[in-house]
Amino acid sequence: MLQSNNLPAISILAPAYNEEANIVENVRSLLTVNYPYFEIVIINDGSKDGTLNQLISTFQLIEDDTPYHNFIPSKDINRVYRSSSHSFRNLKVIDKKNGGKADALNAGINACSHEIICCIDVDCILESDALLKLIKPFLNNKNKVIASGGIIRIANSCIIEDGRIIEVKLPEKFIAKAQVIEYFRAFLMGRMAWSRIDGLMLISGAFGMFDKQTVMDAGGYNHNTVGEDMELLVRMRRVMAEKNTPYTVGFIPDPLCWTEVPQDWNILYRQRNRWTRGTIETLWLHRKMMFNPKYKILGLLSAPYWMLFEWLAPIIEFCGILFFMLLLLFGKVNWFYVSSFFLASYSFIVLFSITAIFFEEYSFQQYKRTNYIYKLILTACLEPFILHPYIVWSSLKGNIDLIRGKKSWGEMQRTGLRNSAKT
Amino acid sequence: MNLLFACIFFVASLLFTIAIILLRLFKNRRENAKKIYQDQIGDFINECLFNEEFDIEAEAERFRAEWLKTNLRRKIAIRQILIFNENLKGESEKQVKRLFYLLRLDQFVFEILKKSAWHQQSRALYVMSELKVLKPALVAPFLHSKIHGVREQAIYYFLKTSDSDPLRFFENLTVELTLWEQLYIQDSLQNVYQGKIPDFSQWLEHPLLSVRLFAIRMIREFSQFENIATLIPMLNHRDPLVRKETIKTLCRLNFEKLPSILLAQFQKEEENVKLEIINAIRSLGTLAMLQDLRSNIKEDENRIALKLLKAEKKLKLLTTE
Repeated sequence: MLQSNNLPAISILAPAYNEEANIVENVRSLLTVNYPYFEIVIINDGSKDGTLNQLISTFQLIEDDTPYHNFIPSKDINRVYRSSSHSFRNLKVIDKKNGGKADALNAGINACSHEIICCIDVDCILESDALLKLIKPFLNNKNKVIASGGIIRIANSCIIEDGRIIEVKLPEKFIAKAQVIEYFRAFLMGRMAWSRIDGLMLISGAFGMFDKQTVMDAGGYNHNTVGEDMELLVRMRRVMAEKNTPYTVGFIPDPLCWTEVPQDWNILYRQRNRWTRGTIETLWLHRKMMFNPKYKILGLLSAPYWMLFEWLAPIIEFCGILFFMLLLLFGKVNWFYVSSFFLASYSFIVLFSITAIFFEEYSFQQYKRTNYIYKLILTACLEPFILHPYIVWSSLKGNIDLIRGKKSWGEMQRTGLRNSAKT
Repeated sequence: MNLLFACIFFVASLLFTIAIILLRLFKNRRENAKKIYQDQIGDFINECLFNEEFDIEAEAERFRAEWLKTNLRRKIAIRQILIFNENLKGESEKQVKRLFYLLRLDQFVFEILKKSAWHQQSRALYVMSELKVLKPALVAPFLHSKIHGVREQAIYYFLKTSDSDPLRFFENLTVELTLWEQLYIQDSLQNVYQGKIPDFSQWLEHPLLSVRLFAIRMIREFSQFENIATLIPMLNHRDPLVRKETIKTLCRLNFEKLPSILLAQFQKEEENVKLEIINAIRSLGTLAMLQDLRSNIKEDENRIALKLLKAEKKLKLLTTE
């Protein structure tokens, strides 16, 4: 099908902010995506460095005066550029005032040409057939498909050449290895199961495909939340449910996109802090859905699950630790109960992680070297003592920051996959 | 109670860990075995094809009895036969197909079709298509499969094995074709099917809407100008999707009177059809015609207004060039 001339065209939207160092290589990698018809729309979100100049000079950009309309509000666009070179004819660059990722994506939606949009992080590495796999649910469904997503994999330490993963390696640092297991749990178990009952509330902001008209009908990305990817999907689903239109959200159980995860504890803290704030903001904005049978699975199962397990669980866990310390202080600890409870919860979380590794081993087996399996099992045993408490703390701080009115994303430094991993 | 749960979780974790390690060892062993089997069956096929003193029938019988003992070996044998089949032409290709029957791999494929899981059935259908195993009655029920992958391969089978009437299976269709399946059929018609392309107008009255839409699209893709007259009444079809596709097709077929017909229709049309009308007038009409449309656009029709603006700009650019 990749040779087909009949597949629908896709607009790939990639916001960029201060990406001078890697932008050219990232765009070149995107241009090699294997799909017959697509345009790449890079949205320069008011970068303070030379991101735009790099793009203009490398890709021979000239001003494009094709009219566009702000169907969804976004900050002012300075200029739209297209390439004068035939080799880059499907590249469009939007230069706009800084407004954040959500605002940049909204500007991209307004100015892009095609009816299916694919929102990605500019530094992601896509599998060669990722677009084809992601568009399949849109074409192969009796109900209207409003969005589709796939499995995201961790690219830290992998060997990458010309924007393609050529050897999958397990990250060397424990923090990244533990996140590999987290991603297994989230994608191979969580999202796969939620998609089975059509209860997905999140398509990762790193790589997701959307029906443009439905996005516009829902009002586009929300500028006022730091969890804009989750909020958009929930709002789209809510709009569809309120219109009583049959619809579905597709999920492809294949690894489609490789991304870099934080390898620094401070950056991980900021990321998880932001995820927590994004979750709470989304749940609060759409509180009407909670336990509301009108929204079916979404209202009765997905939203309550996210409230209990993604938002409240760290708070409950922290309260439990505080209560234990109080008991310790007053010498009221029943040590037999504490030990047995600790053993039960520890063995449960290890079981959960081991099951996720089993699914990976049974299905994709992306980590080919046998010693990686032993390392992953060992990481699964250590993760509850090292990574988990840190994540709980980051989430708690996320709650506190939200109450204090913090709205920022926090700086997310990346080491740069293409440069660091190339060997 | 906690201790009991701890024990259960611990034992389960241990069992899963053992399962992971065993699975890895099993997969490693199987990979190694596969390489060896591939070489062995490869050597055998080469002997059959290129050694003139080789008694194919007797050797195939011996090979089947002594070597083709497990399902893994049979699957690898089929895969190797498919590779040879794809890369060879003429007598050698016929010989490879003959070998497939001599090794009784056709029986193995039929067994899979009857009993196995959907992904194996899908693969079996693919094998039958590639080796042109003519058993349409056996494959026909899979056209109604609920699994897209299986249905897709059943469609592919009929397209690949047909010499003159590739879309005859439309007669048996009772479930709407998805867009993906329509693209798949179109691609197969363009790239796989080697016979005469049928007249698509015969399906314009098909009970399934998706088949009718597909037929209109194919009239366009295969430039069947002789069907213009049949399509014109469909500009007034009750279904907007049919009207939209008809406009697209008549436009591609350069039906000259289309702009004037569409100008009259524009105001009462739905948004998506209006967008298509603008495209058609841009391609076949004049700038004045496009400008005529302006007065018929309502205030809240932003998408249509933008489309019209873009079309006017493009047409102006073309006329100045």
